[in-house]
Amino acid sequence: MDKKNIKGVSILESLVCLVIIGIGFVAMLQLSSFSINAMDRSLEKNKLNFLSEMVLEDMIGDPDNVSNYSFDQTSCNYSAKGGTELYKKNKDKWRNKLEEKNYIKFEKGSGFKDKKLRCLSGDSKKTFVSNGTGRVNFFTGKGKRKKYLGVIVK
Amino acid sequence: MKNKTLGFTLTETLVAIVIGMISVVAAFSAYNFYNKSYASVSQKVAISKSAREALSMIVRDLRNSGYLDPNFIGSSAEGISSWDSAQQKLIEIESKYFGNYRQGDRLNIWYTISPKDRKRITYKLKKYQNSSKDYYLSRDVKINPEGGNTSHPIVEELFVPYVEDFQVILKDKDGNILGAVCHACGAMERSYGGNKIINGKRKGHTNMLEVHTAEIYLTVRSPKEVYSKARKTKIQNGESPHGSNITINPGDKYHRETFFVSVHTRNLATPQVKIASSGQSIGVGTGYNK
Repeated sequence: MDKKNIKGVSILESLVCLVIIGIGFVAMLQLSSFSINAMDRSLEKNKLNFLSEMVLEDMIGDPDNVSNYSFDQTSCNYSAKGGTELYKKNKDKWRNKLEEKNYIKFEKGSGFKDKKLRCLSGDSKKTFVSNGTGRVNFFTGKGKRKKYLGVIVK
Repeated sequence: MKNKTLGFTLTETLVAIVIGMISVVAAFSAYNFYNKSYASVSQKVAISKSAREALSMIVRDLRNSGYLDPNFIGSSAEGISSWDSAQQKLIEIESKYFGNYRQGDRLNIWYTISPKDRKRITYKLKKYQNSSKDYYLSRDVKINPEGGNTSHPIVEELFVPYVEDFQVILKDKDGNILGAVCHACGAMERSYGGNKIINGKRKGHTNMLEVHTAEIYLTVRSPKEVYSKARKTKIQNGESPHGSNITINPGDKYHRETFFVSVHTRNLATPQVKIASSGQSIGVGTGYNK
């Protein structure tokens, strides 16, 4: 036998192979973190479902004033606006609940911090009301994902 | 001849071992990571699923709450002969008494399911038999609770596992909190005048027909620990003094979520007596659903 015939895998080849396998690994890890994120999003969508139900129930409960229930919140920081009328109180309630104000707080650094619903710039919460019908639109994921729900109030 | 006996040199073997070790470590840590994330995701799924199912049912019960069949008086299996006494049991809460932190509420809902029969549904936090601090939300159903012979056994159901807080806030048509909506009034309801008699009727009873909106807060804990570090947690549901304010200290590793839903109780803030006595259809009464 000639020496030249004895072939094996060179170190370079094996390293290249390792790098390719490594890339595969990273892809798998990303897949897993993506699926965890998707899970979190579905949890928040679940909550958003209940919140849209809240908005529509408030409209159903105040059918004569439904024209006052138009609402447009594009910022992620809400603040109560006050007022004695039911629709003003209800809108303040929406603002609070959409932010999950005070629900659960975790100790972080010094003091407790709110655990808020995910809100990105471009997200918005809107209602459209016209002549006895109400509709609520939630835009999440930088406004890319939309959720509509409508109801005939009167 | 010597040239033909070829094997691995020491350095080659060492390099191979090192590369092998690195890949084994990578595989192991990836396995660990997957395992952990699977555990945390499945805990979150469990919370989300049980809360979603429970809240949809609570919402349905609340929408029905206080419904009295027009023929209930006279044919009632509970022996109820007047609207006044029928309307003493429509919806009821007992605040800040239940659960691990003694701040949870109990919610009672009554409605008729046929001209004869009335159903009572109780939502309340109960302790697990083999636990000192874990509570679940139970949904107990009884048909004809005062019916004597026609009464059915209570059907108890473990409704939502591992619930930390269950708050019910009832509001009237102007958005003000009703502090005393009760038949058997608890301490908190009594302090809001639940047993006070105004114009021959107890305030706790007349308030039942004032209920316009019910707000439900449900804080669920993951069955198993999720986080690697313990942390202190605060739970605040609803407005003080009717809501809860719980601090979990020392902290723990559980994941918690609060679910909120608000429902318009269609059968309560409605002048039922007027409509029932005048024989109007329910859509005709001008005060309907205000």
